[in-house]
Amino acid sequence: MEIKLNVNGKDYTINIDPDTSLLDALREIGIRSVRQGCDTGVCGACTVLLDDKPILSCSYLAARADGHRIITVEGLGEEADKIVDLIVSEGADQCGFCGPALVVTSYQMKKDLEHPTVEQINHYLAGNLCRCSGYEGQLRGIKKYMGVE
Amino acid sequence: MKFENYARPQSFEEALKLLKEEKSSRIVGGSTFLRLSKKPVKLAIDLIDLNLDYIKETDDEIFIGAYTSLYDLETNPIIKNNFGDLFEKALKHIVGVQFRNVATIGGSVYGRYGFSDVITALAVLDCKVDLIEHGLMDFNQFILEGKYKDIIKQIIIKKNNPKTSYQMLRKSDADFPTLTCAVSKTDSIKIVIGSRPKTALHALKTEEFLIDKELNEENIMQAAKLVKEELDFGDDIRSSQAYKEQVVQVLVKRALMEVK
Repeated sequence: MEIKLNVNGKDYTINIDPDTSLLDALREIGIRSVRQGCDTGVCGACTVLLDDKPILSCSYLAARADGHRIITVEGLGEEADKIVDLIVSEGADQCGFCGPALVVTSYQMKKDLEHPTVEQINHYLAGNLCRCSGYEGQLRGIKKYMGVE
Repeated sequence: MKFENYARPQSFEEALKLLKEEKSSRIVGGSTFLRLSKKPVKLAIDLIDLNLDYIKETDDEIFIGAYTSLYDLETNPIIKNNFGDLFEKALKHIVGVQFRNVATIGGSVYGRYGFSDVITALAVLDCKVDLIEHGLMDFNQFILEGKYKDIIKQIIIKKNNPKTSYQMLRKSDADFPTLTCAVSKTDSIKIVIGSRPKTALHALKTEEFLIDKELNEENIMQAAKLVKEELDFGDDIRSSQAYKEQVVQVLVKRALMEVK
């Protein structure tokens, strides 16, 4: 079946099987920052924004995304650089596999939470797993991004 | 979940017809759990075009469309105004925000999963399931009676200003719960226990015991013990039956203390 996706402001028309996930469709068109981690809806490495909401692209049908606006880390421009710089300045990222999804989620978190507390930040990011950093350094960088000490 | 064909019906009638005609068909809700199934399906029916993503209210009732996400349910002001932090506490530990933005209330209810925090929370409220074919059905009747080859349009909750409490035990944040407990208090007290590991159930004898009783320490302790005795618990991957029987008494006690 043929679907139309708007990814990072660019329109794509692609042919997919009916049960193709949005994750597979995005990787098929060359968006490789969207990672297949657990592929069971747990790790959050496949997080993208669909109409300004963070979602698991591994659990979302590409067919259902037809006509919707999708943002990945490539579409965040300088804001992504800002988040990455803050995380890196804390010496946080190691393998980087979970990084793009963490940046995407942090970006949307800043829009969703007006006056965030540390508890709210931790809670919002609970669905982004990292298996090498231990989170502390990443969280220090993200708290700076959120304006929370 | 693997499927051969995908349909997006434009009316409830068309959706029900597709579901009835093709034996090997499934309604796709959030598909967060369904997608893990290894069983192939011929037809996936997506209700995304039927505008079932809403939370609205009248003077007496709240209407929650079947495609409302768990995150919307957790954060919606109408829900908070009427049920306090019941749903926030029930839902905030389910995986992560990106999961709860995909998972739907309709999928959670239709699946009647034993581990469901959503079902435990809904079951203590005065609540109905609105089905295309069977019409309005009491929520607990729907949960108990088994799966219908039908489609949930919405969940309807009566606004009766309950005091509520949600308690649960998880081994770690974002894990499935080891045990869940919801309590509501209006003219009477409702107690529901989930993850027993079977589907959530009312502790009916305990609810009867508490009629016209003061929620003092003695009655609360007695109620907690009664819940353990009247409901059946079993072993699962997260804990033994004996452990659940101990934990349930603590959760019930905490919940009753909170609503007293």
